[in-house]
Amino acid sequence: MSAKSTDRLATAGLYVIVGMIITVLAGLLGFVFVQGIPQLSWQFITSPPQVFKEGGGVGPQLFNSFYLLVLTLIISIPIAIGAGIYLAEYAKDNWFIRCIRVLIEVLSSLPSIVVGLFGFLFFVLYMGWGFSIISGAFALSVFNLPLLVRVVEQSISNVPKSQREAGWALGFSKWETITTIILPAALPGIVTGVILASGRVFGEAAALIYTAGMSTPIIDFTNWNPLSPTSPLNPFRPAETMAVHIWKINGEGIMPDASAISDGAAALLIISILFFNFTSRLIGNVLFKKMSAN
Amino acid sequence: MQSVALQPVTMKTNRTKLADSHDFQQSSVLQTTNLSVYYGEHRAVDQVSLTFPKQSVTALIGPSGCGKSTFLRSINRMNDDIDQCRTEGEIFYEGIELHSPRVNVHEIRKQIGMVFQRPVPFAKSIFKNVASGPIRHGVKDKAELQRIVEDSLKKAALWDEVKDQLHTSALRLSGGQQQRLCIARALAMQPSVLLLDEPASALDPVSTAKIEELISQLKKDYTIVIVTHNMQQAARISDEVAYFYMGRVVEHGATEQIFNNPRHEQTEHYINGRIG
Amino acid sequence: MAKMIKEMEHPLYRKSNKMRMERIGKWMTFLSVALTATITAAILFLVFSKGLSTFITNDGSVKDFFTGTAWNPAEVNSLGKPIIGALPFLVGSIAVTGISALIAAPLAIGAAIFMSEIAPRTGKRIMQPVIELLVGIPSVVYGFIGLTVVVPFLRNLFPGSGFGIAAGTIVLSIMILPTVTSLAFDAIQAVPRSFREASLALGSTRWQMICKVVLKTAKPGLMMAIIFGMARAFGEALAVQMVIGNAAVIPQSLFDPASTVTSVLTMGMGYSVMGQVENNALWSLALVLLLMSLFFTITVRMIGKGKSS
Repeated sequence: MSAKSTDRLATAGLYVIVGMIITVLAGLLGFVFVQGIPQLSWQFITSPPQVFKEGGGVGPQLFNSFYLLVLTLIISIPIAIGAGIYLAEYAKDNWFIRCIRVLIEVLSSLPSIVVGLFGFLFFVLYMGWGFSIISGAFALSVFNLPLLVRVVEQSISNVPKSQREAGWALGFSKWETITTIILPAALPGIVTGVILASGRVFGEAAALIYTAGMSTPIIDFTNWNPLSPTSPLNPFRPAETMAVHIWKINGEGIMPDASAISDGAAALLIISILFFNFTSRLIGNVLFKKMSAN
Repeated sequence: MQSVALQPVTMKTNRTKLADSHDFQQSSVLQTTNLSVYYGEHRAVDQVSLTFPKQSVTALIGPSGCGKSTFLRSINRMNDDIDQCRTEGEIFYEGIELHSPRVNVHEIRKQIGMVFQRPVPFAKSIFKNVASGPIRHGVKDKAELQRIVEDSLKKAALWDEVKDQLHTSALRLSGGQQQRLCIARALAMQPSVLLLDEPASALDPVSTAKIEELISQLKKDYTIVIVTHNMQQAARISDEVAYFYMGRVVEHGATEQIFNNPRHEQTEHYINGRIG
Repeated sequence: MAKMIKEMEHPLYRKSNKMRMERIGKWMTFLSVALTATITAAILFLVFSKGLSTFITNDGSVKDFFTGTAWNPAEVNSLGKPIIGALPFLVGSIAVTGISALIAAPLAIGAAIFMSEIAPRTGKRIMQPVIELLVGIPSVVYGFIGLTVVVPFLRNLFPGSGFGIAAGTIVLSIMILPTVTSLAFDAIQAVPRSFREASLALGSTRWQMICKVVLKTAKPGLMMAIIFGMARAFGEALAVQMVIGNAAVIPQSLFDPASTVTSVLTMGMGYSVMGQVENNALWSLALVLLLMSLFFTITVRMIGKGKSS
């Protein structure tokens, strides 16, 4: 066979491969949407689940997912920004820092179930917080930290060196230069990264089943006192998220419409992820434009 | 002792007295003695002793890699932050040795402003670019800030062009405007010395002309040291010229003398374009 | 004396709190780094100490663990040692990871070549964002689709319940496909344009150029992409657990129910009590997971080092 015809054959082969992949992935998304979107209704996303009968919703689960996400971000963002700043601006290239970098890399590659088990051992049992939102939020923070640290470090490193020198030349200390010049300039990258990481946190289940738990007590959405046991804000109550809910009702759900609920919940989860993805692109672009043009 | 402290000593008298104590020429504000800068083992600047007269422009010229930029950067101790960079010798500013441990390096940079080769505006509004320095150094009053910003932009000959868009991003300005903004930013710190590191080399001829004109204006109030590769520029704007070669000052003198009647053959070669 | 005072009045001697802020800032940010590293160290320490206690405290046999086929940690065997044969789970994990990598790798690399070399415009503008989006789809969604589509499909086509290695493999290969494609695309994009042009200028066809120049240069990056995918597959818990069937035996075929390390962990941890043998045995499985993850990380690092030198 001549080189020319091999070339043509190979190109055709690549088209077939890509066609296959597109079919599978499009089919996958299409399946979730076709099955799931009809299930979505205001009633579905606001009402509590049913154990034995049909017609349950995912209201508390949806709330739990967002609440956990918010707490996770509150815990992990400050630490990640601090760590990112140190690694990008202060860290020297010595064995100690190299060790720390390896450790952070190891953390980022740990399976999420291992992080969940650590959370179970440390936050649930050792700290005595039980299966609770606070345990879940800390476990998710551990899971989220290495990714965020990398995002912050990279965004900061992408700010040109000349900006730092310009700051120093004005008599700014290194720290002032970082906080008033470098960090604002790195903001678009950091925000984009944080929102993308949020999508990952939002859909995470394995790290949560043994930390935030697999159940939600009856909560009263009119009670916003965080100390009350029936309040949605109480950080010491167990909280099942959307992702955990999908997993759980597919394993042990006994309501008759379990599969319909999973369909709806899966669609809702993917829509949320899409939402995070688009917002991150949008906000990243807007911030970037705002800083560079207007 | 107390009486001395309470006496309203003006800066001027203070400066002259200090100058005396260091065997310091009255007309100069800045002087280096045997200043050497090393990068690791490499000696980039070799025992340079220069005096910069007050309210004049001194141009540092010489082929690439001759150490003139390194020398400039060591004056406000910008090289402190570079690993493996070591400085020997002395720099006197108003009679104070700048390497003295009691000297606050951030204050040095307030007194000795610097502008870089490429314009480096911050990703902030024009106003904030100029105001960020004074804000950082404790100016809180809004009206005072407004005044400083206006003053600095006027001095940098940028005010008329930007006065209606002070709160838009500085990144929208043209390269030449950005560079004048950087000069305004340095002026807002109320320095007495300006170090300019090839400030016009990244600009078009029109912007370059504006910067040159600006430098001639600023000379009335500031002591200016400028690194340049452009011989015509050096001839046009400077009062004194120092020719650097291989880290050493080969020749230092009045601009007219250096350009018309250089003492060293090498200087002549360089000025006439025979050394790149 | 008078002169000294005057000297100290010069603005250059002014004290500012900058140095103090600098120190505080540096320390605070260092503490954040140290905290992150300490958490990792704590995880490593806890998993190691818990995982090893099966063999130290409970007198379990390491050989049994890696070669035994019976898993019943609550009971002891004739030698008085807990029955902790984890081989079925290890086989399950290795099988699903290996086979899904075998399926996903060629597809992903093919797609990456397509995106980079055949249709670079569509590739960059449309396919890359879509692929990156697919990377973010939660694994439970993959598991759920596996449960509702793949398992019934296999049940109709092959003997058995549909649960098993095959279902797990299909779910995992679809799950890691976007990740591997995205990383492979980055690796191929990193090959300098001039390499391609040089090859085409010598008269190669596009396919020859791709094989001899692009793939050869991008090889370390492609390896890293595949290993990343394998690490993700090996560590995935819920998606696999939903479709694998969860039988603690070595499967005789791809369509028999089986188990993986992660599925046993997911199922079992809630039903055992801390400190007991059953629980410790599960932590030993977590340790295996951790060691595999370390192995993948180290391999990626070594390839990365080889690439840069």
